[in-house]
Order: sequence, then structure tokens, then C-alpha cells
Amino acid sequence: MTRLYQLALRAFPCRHRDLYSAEMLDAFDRELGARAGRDRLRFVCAACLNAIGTGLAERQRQRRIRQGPAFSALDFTLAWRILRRDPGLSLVSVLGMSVGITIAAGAFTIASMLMATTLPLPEGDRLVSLVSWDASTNNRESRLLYDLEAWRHATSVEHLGVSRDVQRNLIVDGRAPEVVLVAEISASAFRAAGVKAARGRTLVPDDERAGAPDVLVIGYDEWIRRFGADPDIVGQSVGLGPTRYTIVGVMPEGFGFPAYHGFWIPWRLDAAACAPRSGPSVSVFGRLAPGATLESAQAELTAIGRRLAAASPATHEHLRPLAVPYAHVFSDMDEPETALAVYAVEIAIVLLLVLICINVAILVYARTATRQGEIAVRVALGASRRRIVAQLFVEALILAGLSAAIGVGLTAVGLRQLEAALLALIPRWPFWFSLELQTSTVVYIVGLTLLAAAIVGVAPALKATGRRVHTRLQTLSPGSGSRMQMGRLWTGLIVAQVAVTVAILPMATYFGWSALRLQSGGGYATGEFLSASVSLDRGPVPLAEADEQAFAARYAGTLAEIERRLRDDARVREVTFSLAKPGRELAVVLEAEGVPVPVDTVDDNIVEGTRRGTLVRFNRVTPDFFSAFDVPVSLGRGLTAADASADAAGVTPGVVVSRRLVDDVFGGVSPLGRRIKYVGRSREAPARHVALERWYEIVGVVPDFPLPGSFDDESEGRVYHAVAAGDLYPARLHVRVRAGDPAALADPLRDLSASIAPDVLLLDVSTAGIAFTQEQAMMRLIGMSLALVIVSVLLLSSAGIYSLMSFTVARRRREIGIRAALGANRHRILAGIFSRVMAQLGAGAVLGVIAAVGLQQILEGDMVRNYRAMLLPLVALLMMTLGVIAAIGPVRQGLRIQPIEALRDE
Amino acid sequence: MRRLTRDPAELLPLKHATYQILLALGDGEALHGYAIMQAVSAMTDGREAILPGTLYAALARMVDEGLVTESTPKDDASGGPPRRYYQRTKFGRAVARAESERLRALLEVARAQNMFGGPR
Repeated sequence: MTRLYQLALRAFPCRHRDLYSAEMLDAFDRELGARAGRDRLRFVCAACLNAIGTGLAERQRQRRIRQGPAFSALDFTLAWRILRRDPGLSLVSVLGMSVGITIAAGAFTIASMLMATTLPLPEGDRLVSLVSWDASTNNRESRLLYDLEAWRHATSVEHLGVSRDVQRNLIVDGRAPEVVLVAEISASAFRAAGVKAARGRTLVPDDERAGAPDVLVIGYDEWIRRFGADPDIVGQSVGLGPTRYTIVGVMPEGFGFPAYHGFWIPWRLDAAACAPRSGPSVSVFGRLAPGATLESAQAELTAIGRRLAAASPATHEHLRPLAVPYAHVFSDMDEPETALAVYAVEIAIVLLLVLICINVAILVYARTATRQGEIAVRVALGASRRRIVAQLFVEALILAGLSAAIGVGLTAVGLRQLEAALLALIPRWPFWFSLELQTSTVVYIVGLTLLAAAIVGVAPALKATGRRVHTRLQTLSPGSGSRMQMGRLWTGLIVAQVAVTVAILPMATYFGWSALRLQSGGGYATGEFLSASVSLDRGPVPLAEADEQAFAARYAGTLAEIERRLRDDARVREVTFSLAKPGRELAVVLEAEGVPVPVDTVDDNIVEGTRRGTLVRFNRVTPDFFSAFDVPVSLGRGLTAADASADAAGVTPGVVVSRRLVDDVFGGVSPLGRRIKYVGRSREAPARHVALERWYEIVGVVPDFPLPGSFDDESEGRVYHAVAAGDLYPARLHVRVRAGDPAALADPLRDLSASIAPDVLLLDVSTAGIAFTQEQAMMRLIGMSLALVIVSVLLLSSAGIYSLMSFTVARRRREIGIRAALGANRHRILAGIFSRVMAQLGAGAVLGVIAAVGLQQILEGDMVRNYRAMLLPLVALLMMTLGVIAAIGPVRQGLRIQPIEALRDE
Repeated sequence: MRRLTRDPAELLPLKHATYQILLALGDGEALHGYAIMQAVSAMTDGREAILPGTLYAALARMVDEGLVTESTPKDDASGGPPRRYYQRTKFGRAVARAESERLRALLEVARAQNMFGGPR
């Protein structure tokens, strides 16, 4: 029995057994002696089980005491000292990781903003947008008034509302008219949003009645900016175009529903009178009814959609009604491809950070290798693996923490810059969009920091404290160098490192360079042009057909009057009109007579016709357009008024094409007399301006205008049609000044328009120079970000390759010494070492080149078209040179070792 | 050396074996392990016993926590193997007192709920 108990006592740790086992056995024997029969057996069983249980628990306790806490303040002090001892490595690591963290955090903020489902409104997550998706064209259908009447039967969505944007001239007594964006909106929108007016009232259903007084609700910012926070604002009247409106309320600060609005007028269009897929483009929204979910609303909408498709198959066969979180319509997140793309970009950026961290881990590992002796001694003195891993993790955590701190600062600054650049390009942002650093971003950065620390610290630490750590103590001797084994894994890493750098760097460099070198002009006198879109306020109700004709005549007259008055102005040199801005022409699919149709389909928003053909850009211009812009006709003739009237009369009209189109479609051969037609049109190209399947004859060729900008290697050819200014609605007016800043003409132009009629709307009044400057600022930001990534990747790759090469060669230093001692020829030794180095680097470079070419194919091969020949070998050569330089130092040291010294070490 | 100023409440509630040992040791002379086992049995009229495994694991922990002190007298006349003797420290007494107070408060609740019998 005692023997059995003795066995059970082995569950206790040695130290405990040494101290207490004799006494425990004595106590067991005495207790056993005092018992008899079955009681004796029961006691033995209980005592043995008790010994095993308490013994194992005691083992755990002693282990905890021995190991101490996972981290201590001393770890941080030691880690800080070690990082300071190697400032170069620490700096490179921090720099690389901070760039990675900044980009990942920035991408997270943007993705969070785009994917937000909650609006800053009461129960903002219950607001939904109802949209209609055309499955045949894969586009949104926004003429929804007919559908709206059917959707009103859905019980899952309450306070169903509708709105559309209209541009109106705001006329406040005594001031020049200003164009403002007005939401023509149903009163239910305010109930759906759940917000009351700060002053006065919101719109009410009675305001929508035909013949009701014209009322207006204004936003808080407008009240401050345009009305000086007048406390008696409610009840005052202002003009919107030719109509007087009474202000009935002011909305609270920050309210911009449905998106970026500051003026609201009642909805007066009769949706019931609309035919399927007709009427204006509108937005439809509502609030999920109590108890309803997005899924239940979707189920109801799907059922309604089926009924509509059955009732009007010609228009609704392919339409799919969808209920989506309200905000998603504004970020296109209702389109699965966009959401997927955002996720993919975010994952790719985290992978970039992981790649950077792996680089840093390689650096740290190479340094850890030089501390192998210290680690072995600590293990020999009783330090557990957990303690050593914890200390190395703390070192990595400090590196990652410093990187995160810099990353937070860079992210905040970068996001501010990006917001400013975006606001310049896109003046209207939904009121819930913000690129400020959010708490969620900071939490994300903390997560990234821990991930980075885990990759950088734990992986090398586990490798360095592996099973063989004890044996390394035996091999420690002065001058023996590091004995840490690198093996195939590290050879693989060198190859991979070189390959990834060679594959990615040329493309990134090209992108960054292209973005930074963007020209400040479009190849014409951008500093001399002022441009504006001219339209007339059509009022809230559609015009009758007879009124349409009168309207067209009045519009043509207005344009003619504007042109006449401008030409009378001594400051003005030229006046001309076009449909689209130069550089913003409309995408269409073209087919040329006698030219085979391309095999590849056009990747654009083609909503009508086919995608098979050549993607080109289309514009309608007045005949004096080219001379106003100083664009010479290089072949054939320019456009004439006869071309414009031929187009209107249905005779084959003449068109002028750009040089790029001649190259792309006709292989550079003169296209004069050849015929072209459009076979598809994009969403932005209006149907009334693009007649599909109609032939046009090419009568002239002009140079590419404006000149290709940043990424315009992909730019398309252009086709110009002649038009009379009055036939363009809305027409884009271009005014060229004789001297000085064209922006100075903006206010006189507004005054001139207002003096012709109060309903003349001048939109997007800007100089071409400003537009280019804004684009340039955006591209510079992108270019700078890319440059930062390129520099950090190059720095880290160089440092990584250098460390790995010098480390692997350093391992062979004694071998080199011994071979030299045994009389081997120095050249043969060098050849042996460098052939291996070159094999590793060469394999990496070859793999990198293959990957780069593969990437070219995937990305359709245009990006480094002219640069591949130069950049790819350059980067490969750079990486190989770095590797060779890294190897030279250790090889020379090995050759310098005295033979006797090398042999003694052995 | 453990600080006597430590708060006894930090160690509460005590493990049953720890409380048994602290009570069995009392304020008197130091006892060896087997004597503690007997004292536990005696003070509970044989209703409770403590097994050697539990006893020595608890004693090792109590020494670390400063609840008892351990000594090995040179002239041990108790017979058997050389033994270690244990004595309750002031801190050990304070901890036993705090645990007793805790249990008393529970007992009062039990008494108020008439858990010890008598008319309902």
C-alpha cells in the first residue's frame, strides 16, 4: 500500500517531494495503521487520488511562481535599450510599418464611410432606399414614379417619400441671383427622417396640393450664410427662378436629408399620371415599419416587382426592385460589385501591411540570430520559452507601437488632405460622409499594431527559441559567429523577397510617377477659358408639348443674346458652345464601315445597344469650336453650319475625329470619306444626342485635344459633331478672354444672364485652369502616397535582402576560413560563394519578371507599356547589386581569418 | 518576508483545508504535519479529516503566503522521520479571524432563516 502511495506522490513536483515525501509517507502509514478492513482500502484509494490531484495542482502552482507574469516593466526597459542600440534597423522597421499602418487605417476609414448603414438621424439605421435594378443592362433605373404608386402598397416600409434635385436661381431681394440645389421632396420625407424644424415647420402633405401656396424650408447653414441668422426668417419670401416662395421653416444644424440639401420645396408631380419607365429621375425612400426588417421589405418588394413585370412586361420584365440601407445608394454599395471591390481593396491593403511586417520580421530575425548566445544562456539559467518569446514580443510591440503612433498622425493628416482634395472635385457630399479619424479607426489601428507585433516579434522568437536552443550553448565560443540555421526557408525568403520587389516595384513606380508628373494644363490655353452650363429654370411641373417648342425657342434666343452681349465685351476674345466639356466627352461604342469589329467588349456603363465595338468619346460642338480653342484641322476640313443642318435634316452628316481615333480604328490611315456609326451608348450620353445605327461621314481630323493627362495612355479617340447652339440643352458655354484671369469674368457673366431673364441658370461656372489644378492636387496626393509606399517597400526590401544575404554568408565565414587554411584557391572560394548568391538572387529576379509580365496580362498590359523595358531590369539589377554588396563584407572577413584561428575554433 | 500589513481580506474566502489548518494550529506550540491531521480530526470530533496530500500542499502554499512559519528543530523527540514544525503567524491569525467573521455573517443569515431547526 505504501508503495502505491509512493507512486501517487510522483504527481507532486520534485521540489515538493524532496521536502515532504518522507513526512507524507509517515502520515499515510500512521493513518493506515489506525484503520482496518474496508475502511483501510477506502482510505488508500482516497489518499492516492488526493495525492495525484493535489500533486498536479501543486505542479501548476510552482510553474506559475517560476515563470512569473508574462510581461514585466523590465521587458519594456530592456526592449527600449535594445532598439536604441540598433537605431538603423529600428528606424527602417518603424518607417516601413508606419506607412503600412497609415494606408491600412486610411483605407479602413474610407471603407467604413462608404459602408455605413446608419445615418445621424433618430433610428438612422431603419431608413431605406427603394431602387430598381435593370438586370438586362446591369444599371439602376431611376425613373421610378410609376413604380412608386405600386410600392405604396408595401406595409414593411412606412413614410414612403420621393425627391428629385432641381437647380434654381435663388433671388433674395436686392442681390444677384445665385444658383442653388433644391430638393423637391414629399412631406413624408421629414417624418421618415424623424427630424422636426428648428424654427417654423417642415413641409406638410397639404403643401403638395396643386394650387397650395408655394412654400420653402431652408437648412441651418443657408439660414446663417444667406440670411444672417435672421430670427424673423419664417414668413419672408424669396424667389426661386420666376416663382416667389414663402419660407416656412429652418431645419436644425447638420440636417441635409436626402443627401446634401439646404432648400426643400413641396413635391407637386402626380406620380399616378406617369407611364412605366417615364418621367424624371427620382429617389424613393422610407422607414422600415415597426417589426419589419430589410429582408421582409425586400420580400414584399419582390412580390410587387413580379406583379409589375406581369402587368407591363415590355418595360418591367428585367426590373428588380430592391430595398437597401439608405446610405448605400450614395456610395453605390447597393451594387454587389462595388461592395466586393471595397472588401477586396481592404484585404489587399492588410496583405500589404503583412508583407511589410514579414520584411521587418526578417530584419528582426537576422538581429535575433546575433543574440542567440544571450538567449541560450538565459534558457540555461532557467528562463522559460514563454518569457523569452514575451520579451521579443515586447520589442516588436514597441516597434509596432511607435509605427502606430506615427500612423495615427499620418492617417489624420492624410485623411484631411484627401477630404480637401475630394471636396474640391466633388463639391457635394452626403451630410453623413466624414473622413475624420473615428474611434473605430483607432481600435482598428490597435488591432493592426498587435498583428504587426505578432508577425514581427513572435515568429522570429519562436524560431530562435526552438528545441535546438540548448545545443547552441555548447557551440558558443568567441569568434564562432552565429550558428542559427537558416536553411531552405530563408533561401526561399530571399528568392521571394527579390521576386515580389521586382514584380511590384516597376508598376508602382510608374503609377506614382505618372500621378506626380500630371501636366497643369490640357495642352491648350486653359488659363484663358471660363466655362459654364447654361439652362433655363423649367419650373416644378413638366411642360406641355406646345410649351416645349416655345421653351426651345426661348432657350435658343437666350443663348444667342448671351453670345451677342459677350462678343460686345472688349475683354472677350472668343465665345463658343459644346455639349460636353473638353476632356469630359461622353462614352459611346463605335463601329466603322469596313473595319472588323473588335473581339473584346467595351467595359463601360453601356445602357443601350451593344458593347461590341470601339469605345470612343463623343461631343457636339458649334462650328467655331476648334478655332476658339486654337485646334488646327490637320486633315480634311472643319465642321460647318451645313453639317449641323444635315444632322438635323437626317442627311449623312460630316463629323471630325481625333488623331487617336484614326490610330485606334483605322490603323493611322487617312479616314476621310469613311463612315462610322454608334452601336451603343453609355449612361451619361443622352439618348436625344446619340442616334444609334446612323451613319456619319468623316470629313476632318484634329489633333488629340485636350492632351493626354495622367493615365491617359488608356484615353479614347474622340468624335465631334456640328450643332447649332440652340439645339444643345443644356449647352456648355466657353468664353475665352483676351487677357487676365478668366475667373474675373464669372460675376459679370452671372449679372449678364440675370439681366436677360431671372430664370437663366448658370451652373458649374469654372475656369479650365481650376479644374486641372483640382485634378492635379488629387493626383499629387495619390502620387505622394504611392511614392511613400514605394520608398518604404524599397527600403525594407533592400534592408531585408541585405540582412539575409549577409547573414547566410556570415554563417559560412568559418567554412571559408578553413578552406583558405587548407590551401584552397581564393578565386574558387569566391566563385563558390557568389555562384550561390547569384543563383538565389537570379532565381528571385527571374520569378519577379515572370510575375510582372503576368500582372501586365491580367491588368491588360497598358500600364508600363513604354517603361517595362527599362524599369524591370533596373529594379532586378538593383536588387541583385544589393545582394552582392551584402555578401562581400562577410566573405572578405572569412578570407581574412587566420588559418590557425579557423582550425582552433573547430 | 511577507508584510504583516497586508490586508487579510485579500486571501478570502479561504480554502477549506487552509481554514482547518489555521484553526488546528491555534496560538500554541508548533505542530508537525501528522499532529495537524490529528488536531483537525480532534477539534471536529472525527467528523472532518484531512489527507496528507492536501495537508502538505496546503502547508507549502501557506508558508509562501506567510500564514504559517516552518521550522526544523534539531532535537525532535516525536519519533519517525525528521519533521518540519508549523506555527501560525500573526497574519495567519488575522486571516483566520477574517474568514471566521465572513462565515459568521453567513451563519447569521442562516439563523435568521431558521436553518438550525426550531419552530417555524
